[in-house]
Amino acid sequence: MSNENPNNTPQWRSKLDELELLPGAPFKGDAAWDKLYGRLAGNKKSKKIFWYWMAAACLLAGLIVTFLNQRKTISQPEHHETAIKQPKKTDILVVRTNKYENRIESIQDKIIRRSDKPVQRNRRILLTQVSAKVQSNESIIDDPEQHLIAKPLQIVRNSTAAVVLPKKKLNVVHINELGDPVVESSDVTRIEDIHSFKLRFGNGEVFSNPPVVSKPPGIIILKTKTASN
Amino acid sequence: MNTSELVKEARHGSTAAQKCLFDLFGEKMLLVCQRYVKNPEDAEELLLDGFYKFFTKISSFTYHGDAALYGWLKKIMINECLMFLRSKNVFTIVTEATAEEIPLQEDALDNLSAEEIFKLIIQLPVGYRTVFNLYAIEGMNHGEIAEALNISEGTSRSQYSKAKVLLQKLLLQNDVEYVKRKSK
Repeated sequence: MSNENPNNTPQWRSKLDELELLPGAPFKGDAAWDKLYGRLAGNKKSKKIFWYWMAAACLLAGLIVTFLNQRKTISQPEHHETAIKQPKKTDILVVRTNKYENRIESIQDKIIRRSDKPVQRNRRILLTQVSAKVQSNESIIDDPEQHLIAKPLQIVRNSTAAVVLPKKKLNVVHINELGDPVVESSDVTRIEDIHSFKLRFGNGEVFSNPPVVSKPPGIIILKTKTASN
Repeated sequence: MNTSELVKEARHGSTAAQKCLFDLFGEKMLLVCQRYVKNPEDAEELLLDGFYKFFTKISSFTYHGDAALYGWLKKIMINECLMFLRSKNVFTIVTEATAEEIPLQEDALDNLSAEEIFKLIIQLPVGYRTVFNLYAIEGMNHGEIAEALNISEGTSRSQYSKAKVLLQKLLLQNDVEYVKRKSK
């Protein structure tokens, strides 16, 4: 048995190719064309529909993405609002802690040394928190006395520490306005060898080392001198 | 408008050109389909499928004359028919052992008209008919047929042999006219 096609009947093929008309029932070409045309038109329509769907899908995807982005941006501040009791801007003394981190730490050390009394212990807690927040860049001190006992200090993101003063209207001095650390000034540094620190709140309470007599309420001076020891 | 222009127009989606091409080749292609699929409804459906493919893929066709176009269309139709037959799984399995080579009188069909040959072929069972069509008329070898129909080469050979036997029987049955012609 050979696998080759002898094809010894080419006349069959030519004869069959010559056959033009169907034997038997005639071919209904128009009816067949109508069916075919219907299919071809359907194909064109379906192509159009496909592109409409694609456009709609793209639009929907874009909307979803923008919606999700918006939700993200909205939800982030909401999240912090729950954690932080936002004080009024006017009531906040904002202290840039980046520059004054060392000072606060030194203050803390000094207060700890003298923290035999319970009140000072509380203050020590406060200052520990302050210094902790200094590392996380921003903190708010909202009515310190109240927070010392009731709530821990809460955190703000950026590199600021904020102190909320009592509602009594006071002059507020931004620590940034005080300038670079310690230029020798007779107003601030009273004794050459002693490092002094004064943190005065509106209610007249003063944190200091060594403790100083409180001045009448007014301008708050927060100034330190770098220790030479 | 000649065929090349019709093809060009059809490529651009002209319905009129498509209709002209369908009118030109439709009936011939239906004959091709009916040689493979006996049922006229199925054959017409396959014809429409084939033309649908032709019109949707006409952009990939480069016109090299009417014969090339006819050949391309015929190939599409045959493929459609084979796919249809494969999907129906109509090929009877005949082992190689049972197949035997039976010589067909070469001149037996030569004296018949195209219409008579067509009628004889469509009387064959589907498996025999398909293999006979592919081997004797389309000129494919058994390897190609086996691949196209997803059967073994032996099966293809046996189907062809049996088709020839059956054709001879059919010729003998309808042989009055044939004998008359031969005696002339």
